[in-house]
Amino acid sequence: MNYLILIWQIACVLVLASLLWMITLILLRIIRTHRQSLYTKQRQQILEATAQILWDEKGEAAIPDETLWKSPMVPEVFLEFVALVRGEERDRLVARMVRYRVDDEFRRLLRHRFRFVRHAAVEALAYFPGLPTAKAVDSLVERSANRDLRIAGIRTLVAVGAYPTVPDVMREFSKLNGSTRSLQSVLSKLALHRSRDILEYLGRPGVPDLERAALLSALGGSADYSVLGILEAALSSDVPLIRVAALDGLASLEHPDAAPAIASCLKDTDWSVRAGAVKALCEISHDTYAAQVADLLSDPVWLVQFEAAQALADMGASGRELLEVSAISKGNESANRTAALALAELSAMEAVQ
Amino acid sequence: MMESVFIVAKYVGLVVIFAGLVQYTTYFIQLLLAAFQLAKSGRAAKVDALWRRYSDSAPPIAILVPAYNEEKTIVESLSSLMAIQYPNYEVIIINDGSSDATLEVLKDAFNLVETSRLYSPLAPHQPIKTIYRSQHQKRLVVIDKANGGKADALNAGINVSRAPLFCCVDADSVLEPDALLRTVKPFMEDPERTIAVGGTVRIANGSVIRNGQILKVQLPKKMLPLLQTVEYLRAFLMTRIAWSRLNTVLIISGAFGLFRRDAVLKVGGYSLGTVGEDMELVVKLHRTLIEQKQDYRIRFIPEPVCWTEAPETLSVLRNQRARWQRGTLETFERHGMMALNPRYGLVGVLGFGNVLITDVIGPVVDAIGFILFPILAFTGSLPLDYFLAYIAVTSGFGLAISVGSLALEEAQLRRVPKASDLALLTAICVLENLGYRQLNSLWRVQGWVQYLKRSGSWGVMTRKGFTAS
Repeated sequence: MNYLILIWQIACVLVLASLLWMITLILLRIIRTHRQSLYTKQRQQILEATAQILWDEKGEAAIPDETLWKSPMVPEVFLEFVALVRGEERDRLVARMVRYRVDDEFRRLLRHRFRFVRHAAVEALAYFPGLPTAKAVDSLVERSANRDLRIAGIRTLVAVGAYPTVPDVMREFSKLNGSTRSLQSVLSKLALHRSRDILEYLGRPGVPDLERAALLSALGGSADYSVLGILEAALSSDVPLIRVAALDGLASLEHPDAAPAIASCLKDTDWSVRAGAVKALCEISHDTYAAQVADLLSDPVWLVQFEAAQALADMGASGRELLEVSAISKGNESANRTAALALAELSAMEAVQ
Repeated sequence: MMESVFIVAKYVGLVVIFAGLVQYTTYFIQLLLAAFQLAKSGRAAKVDALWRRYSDSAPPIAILVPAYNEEKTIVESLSSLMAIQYPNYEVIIINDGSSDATLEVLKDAFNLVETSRLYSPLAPHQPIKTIYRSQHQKRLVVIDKANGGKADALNAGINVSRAPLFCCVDADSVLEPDALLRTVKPFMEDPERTIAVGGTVRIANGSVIRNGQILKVQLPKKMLPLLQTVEYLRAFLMTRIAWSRLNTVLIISGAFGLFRRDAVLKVGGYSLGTVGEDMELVVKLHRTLIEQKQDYRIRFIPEPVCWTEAPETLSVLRNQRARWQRGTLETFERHGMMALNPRYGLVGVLGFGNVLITDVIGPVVDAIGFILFPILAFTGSLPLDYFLAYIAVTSGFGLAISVGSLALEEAQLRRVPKASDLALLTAICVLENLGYRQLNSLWRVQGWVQYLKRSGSWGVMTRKGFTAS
């Protein structure tokens, strides 16, 4: 066969196939547009029913149609609604939803065939604490192959007070290549209730650096001063990531006894550690080390200079004095520029205030 | 004599057909990869769900908006940026020595006062004259600097910004309110490795825009923007999604992209003296990080949308396309050694190899074909099977690719408002291959000529402003 004719024939088939595909999609769109109006109507009914059970004073209002709560749209609508109410109103809404067994429906929807429905259901269950929710969500986290769903499940478990164990969370953490901001916020909340478990986990041999760093950083939110020792010990790690995480933890802990250990990092060989040390000192408002911080205005790395200038600006009179000296001292253009700009910014901010 | 002309014509024809086949084979592979990726990513979350999931840990972002003679659109664009739904961001407008009243318009609209700010001197740019802060919009900073071009303005913005991420947005564009929440997702999921993320740019002509908000999405009413709508679908929903899957995205549109500031500063910021600064930056990032053997990700995600005004006249469109071509060639000149070089992995072999075939050689071969084939066919120097194969590789495959991209859009994203609009766009896919694409190739050849002449001009881009459209 002539190959050139074959090319022509293939092109004709592809053109026909793509046009047929498109025609099918256009027809499906027409059907979907019709169905969309039904969805919109049902959504409106759910919103109205939710408002009705919230604002009915005695909570005795007849719900127009109880099958409405079985709709897979309910968790999504509930989440939108609950974001608009606070305090007593939110509690009342949740209590009445429980009375109508809506939480049972949400737990049932954790097995819905569409992922977005399961996702909304697991997020909505964060408002319905209790053993059944904890069990159902735990089971979802165990069986789900989807990362977002598992993270949502863990967040819900933390929200309902059914804290997962540290090894369980860290297993998830390692599956995520060890780096996700969403789990880091979960770890911070976990640290408040499970700081002992975190310390025990950190004591295990072979914990990867990324996990160790995430846990050290999270310990800062534990409000448990007994973790000070382990955070200070981590400042002598060979790995800069771990030193930075420990500084981050110490900054969040805001314990003044940590200042000397933090200040020792101002001369670290790694710039990110130096910048972290300046930030941490600034967080615990320690001006004892202002002169050492001012030395970093001539650091070879801009970010360290910037952090030093910001820290001095935040220190009040003593920091400002050092900035003024650095701005006019001879022999260091970089420090002059950084200090002068920081002072100018400070003046501009004061003028606005 | 006639016989030798006939033989030469056949060989030239075969070369053009072969080049077209190679080009369209890569497009079909891209279409399949994009379909796979879109099917895998599933339904996009609603904005309130994104807020719920990310607001407590979303990193701060600085939105950088270079503005040169944008007095007509700047306030409207800025209004859209001020209404962005994101927990922690600031907007930095960089007035790049505008000769019109851009700065005055900003001063009036946002009550600007002079301020000072500690900023880094890391990326090169023309001197900053004054930095302003808005008295009633705490998030807004305006930099007034000497003219130096878009890359220069962006460098000034990067230096002045403080957030770990920056988002570059064109002053004539409108960001959807949830665009940052969607774009930041890869940075949330993989903060160590992700260094840049691009989103989709769509044509705003025809849509109803008030106070910087898209009130009603509609297709353009004029033919040229309609043709560009299909082109943009192909570029964003096929090519970039496919390359993103292989971590070989070589361009993040200058109209809308999110970058890690430290990564960009490490490569010296945007390179000056190029009209294709957006592509050049991404290629430079790839090159540097591969040479340093670092693990990194440059991603494209289709859902965050930025709306932009497309040219409505042939002359403006021609200037734009020639400039894009020049930008690509300038980038190729600087980093051409990466092309088909296994040292640069998939980026060199596939990504830059594709640039070589479709953007460097492609337009020239296309143009030769468009000129030569009709002449040869008319003079009877070319057999019918050659002509049919040529039509197949230029228009037939092109049509299938365009319709395929539109089908992907409808199957996964459904941003085209109505079924009748889909039908219209399908018809445009057909029309696009009967003249417009050929014209485009000629404009790209013009870009080649300008590149060889070392023309540095951006051409004139006339703006109507969104309200007027």
